[in-house]
Amino acid sequence: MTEQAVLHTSATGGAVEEQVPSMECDVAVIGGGPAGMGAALAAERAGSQVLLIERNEHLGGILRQCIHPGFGLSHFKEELTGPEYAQRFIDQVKRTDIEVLTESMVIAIDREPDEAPGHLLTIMSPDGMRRVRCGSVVLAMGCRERTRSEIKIPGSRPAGVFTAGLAQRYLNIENLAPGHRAVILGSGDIGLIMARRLSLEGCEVEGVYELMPYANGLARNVKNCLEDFGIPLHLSCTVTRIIGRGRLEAVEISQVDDALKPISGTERTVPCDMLLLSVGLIPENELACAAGVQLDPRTRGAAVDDRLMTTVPGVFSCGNVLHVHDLADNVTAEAERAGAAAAAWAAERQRARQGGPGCASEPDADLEQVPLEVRPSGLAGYVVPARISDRSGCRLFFRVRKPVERGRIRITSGDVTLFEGKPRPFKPSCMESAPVTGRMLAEAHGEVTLSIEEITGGPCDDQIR
Amino acid sequence: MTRYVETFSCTTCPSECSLSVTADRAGSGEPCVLNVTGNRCARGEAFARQEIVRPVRVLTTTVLVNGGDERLLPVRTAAPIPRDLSVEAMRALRSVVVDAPIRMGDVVLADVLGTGVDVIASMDIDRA
Amino acid sequence: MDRYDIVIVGGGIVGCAIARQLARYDLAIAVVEAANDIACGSTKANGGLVHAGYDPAPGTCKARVNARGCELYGRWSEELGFAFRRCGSMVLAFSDGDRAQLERLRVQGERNGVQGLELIGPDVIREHEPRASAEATSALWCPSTGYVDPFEVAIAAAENAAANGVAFMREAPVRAIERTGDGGFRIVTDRAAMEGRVLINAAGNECADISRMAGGETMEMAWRQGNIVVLDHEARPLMPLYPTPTPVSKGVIVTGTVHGNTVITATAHERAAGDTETYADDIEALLAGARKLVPDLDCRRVVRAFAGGRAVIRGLNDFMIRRSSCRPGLIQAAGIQSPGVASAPAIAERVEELVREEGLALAPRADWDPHRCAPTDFDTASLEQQQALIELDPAWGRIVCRCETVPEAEIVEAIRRDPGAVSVEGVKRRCRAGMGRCQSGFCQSKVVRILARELECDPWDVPLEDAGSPIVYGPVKEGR
Repeated sequence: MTEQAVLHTSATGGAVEEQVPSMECDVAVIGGGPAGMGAALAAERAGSQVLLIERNEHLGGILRQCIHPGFGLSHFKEELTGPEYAQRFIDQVKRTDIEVLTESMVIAIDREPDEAPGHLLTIMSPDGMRRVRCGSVVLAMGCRERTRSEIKIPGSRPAGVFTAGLAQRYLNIENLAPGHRAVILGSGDIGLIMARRLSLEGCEVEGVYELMPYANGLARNVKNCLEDFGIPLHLSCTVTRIIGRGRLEAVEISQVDDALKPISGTERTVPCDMLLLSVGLIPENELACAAGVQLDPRTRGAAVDDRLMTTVPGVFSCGNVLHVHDLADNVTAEAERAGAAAAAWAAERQRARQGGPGCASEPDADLEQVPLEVRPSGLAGYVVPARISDRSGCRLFFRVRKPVERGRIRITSGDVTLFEGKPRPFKPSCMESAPVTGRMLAEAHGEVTLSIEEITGGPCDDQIR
Repeated sequence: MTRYVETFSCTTCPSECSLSVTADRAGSGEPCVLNVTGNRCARGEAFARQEIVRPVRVLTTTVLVNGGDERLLPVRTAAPIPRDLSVEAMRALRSVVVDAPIRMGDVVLADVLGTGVDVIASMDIDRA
Repeated sequence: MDRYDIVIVGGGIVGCAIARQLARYDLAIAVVEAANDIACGSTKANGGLVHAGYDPAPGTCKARVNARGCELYGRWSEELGFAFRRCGSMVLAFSDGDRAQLERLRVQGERNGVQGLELIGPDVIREHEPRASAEATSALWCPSTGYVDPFEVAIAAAENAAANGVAFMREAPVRAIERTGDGGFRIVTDRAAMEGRVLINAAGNECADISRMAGGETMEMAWRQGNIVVLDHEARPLMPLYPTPTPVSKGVIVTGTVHGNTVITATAHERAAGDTETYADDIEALLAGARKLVPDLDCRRVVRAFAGGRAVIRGLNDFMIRRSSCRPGLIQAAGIQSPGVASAPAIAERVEELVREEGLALAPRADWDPHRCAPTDFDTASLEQQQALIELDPAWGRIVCRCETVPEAEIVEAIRRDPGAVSVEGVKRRCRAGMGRCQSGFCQSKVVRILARELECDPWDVPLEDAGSPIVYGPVKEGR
């Protein structure tokens, strides 16, 4: 990769020579967490020159503060902690020619004219501003936590109300105690893990309160983080008032009805000096939106095709910025697909450019049929991808909106049933997937719908058979 | 002699099998596992038996770092240790300070509480 | 003991605007503020609208200062370098009864000196704001309405005042006010005592207490509390849309902000003094009211909800801006409820006249500088400027708040300015770090570290807002 001063057209329209260094690469990966590292390694293996851009001082992303075990069971076939899982990828990245920019934040992704490599990133860092020209981009910026305001908890606004991840950062990275007595709202995995962490560090955890009638985190975390420590999990409850002037003094807890509305008269006040919120994660797509990437309103991640390409050609998305995953291992698997696809796109683009003028159209545009739209239905809350371009088959990833003991996957296109699964339990905490084969897709027209249907009543026929 | 059944989730892999264990307990003695159901692999059965006799867990926490570019080093026990030793192990680790640089796998505290299990570094930390 | 010509009690938008206005004269001026930062009371809990002035009844004090304040905002914004957008507004009517009210408002506005008021029909409504409800049958178009960040205005005015020699004393709640031998005031605060020839009561919700201590008018305050909701950035900021007002309230208003967010403001309920809690019913009412004006509003995108109290003098329902009739030397700038933000520059002008009437010699300072050098905003700087800033100091390239693109250097500047930030919220009000959609989930720990470094204290001494609001406690691991 070469650094050079480039001629840049200023906003006022006049060409000015300026000393903003420029770099070129095949694939630029934005975000150095598990998704970014997985994508970068896969793109490099596919022969691309890769640039990996990380906002913080170190690679690893949120895994650096996820010091608990439970990572790597499917990817490395052994149980690792978050930092170990990250370190293994960091070590792999170091052994390659992947160029890493740390303390660097991409502030814009612009499309370049057709004759240029593809995309132009603008990056800020303590070393200065920088421009990167690249053939393709992989978005791997992860997600953020839902806040108190988004779930509209009334009351005062004292210190001591944290998202669970922020409290985790104070405790595990900053060596600063966020409080002494915690109430945790939301049984998401980070909340459960923080219940254990705080207990081990000598803080009292009064209880975990969950709006839904079921736990939202993985069963392993309910067992290892709550049951092991005797921490109660209260279902169908929420915080209806935050109390305290300077620092949090108490929260008011109410039970909720079937419509998840607080039931008047059930309020009780729980003294605490820290409220941790583990109430959901939201993909961080503001940069992507500014670049023109269309989002799927269900996931709030990009609407991608089966190659994980967004609606902006050459821009791919993977990991928690695409949809919130349950396990880092699944992030890695998805990121490897995105990295490989981004490498293929960049290589194709490069070939097209070398082919001379006239070949600079989208690389494989002529090979593509009209994509099939993919939709969720029934209990399926969302499906990724949103479109299928390659009819040779792919996997559909989804989550259910509520737990069912017996549910069935049904994949249809119009009136045609392409696939019907065996009855089995589904949980919202687990990311699920179902394959669609080329044979199935040959029968599809226009759209593909994945639905999860709850089966009620006695054992059904196919189980008896 | 009391016969009892315990059900809990398996935590050895993401499959989250719901295990059901039948065991006998005589007085204050160690329970005797008679039967495990719900597991889909041998690891599940081994986990279930251990869980009834004396649950073990990998303990993870942090220790203070001296001269590093991070304040805390995440550490873990190299293997699961009895769950009932967690509090004591945390106490033993509270006074540990390690000097940067540190490499993943470095032993931070050997043979914690005589369990034969080392506490090891979970990641690299360079000098500041 | 420090002696001043003028002591202003209250460092909200009114007190800071008065300080800025008077700083042009060769006077010794002090501002005393109870909280650890300026703009911490109702100023920060405000929708930021610069109302045009058609609303107050003609002949009231409000009517005199509102339209004039709105007019002054253009110049104040230029001189003080704060963001102000004069975008115009519409009061929407949904019925014939509403329309009659609009006509009444138009006539009233003209009497108050508001220019350009016009009744418009559905087509023109859509031209002005395509997202306005299609149910609206007519509207009062008011071209002079605008919006500001109210705390940015107060901070800008305070910085300009400080640069021109005004002393700011924060964390200095007034405990007693005594009469000095020469008829002046001796003001005893928690931090120090001082003397002043003239005392200006700009104490917001505390104005009754200050008046009482100073021997001024007796006032009884009502805490008319309002909840406000902020939504995330929109593709295009909304024009302020008002419902047709009722006799008691302007109703729920939807407006853009200078940073591109949407604000829904405000409910009005009399509650216990000092109550700044938000209420589920209020939030619901705000969202419902907003959807009536802008049906496509995405209310999932709530970034922040907060509440404040309007400083209402019971029975008056007007500002009290005058020389005290009970205590010579005391000037009341009291009962500044809505439209306090819009009126603040004109209140300052009015107080300047009252100070003159007190007989103080108002000799212009030769070195008075009306301009304030606004802090640098990295996010809106050009690429060339950004590159130059980072070359000057790498901290300009070190991102801290990713939602609002605030680098470390901006935070350091917010702390080092005078009067500078001393809390996480103070940093947020000055440079927007933590103001975005993640509500400081990613950057709070970094801001705490920067504050501790700059203020030379431990992280556990860094408050979220007031003293007594520690964010974290001591270290988890001490290695002993």
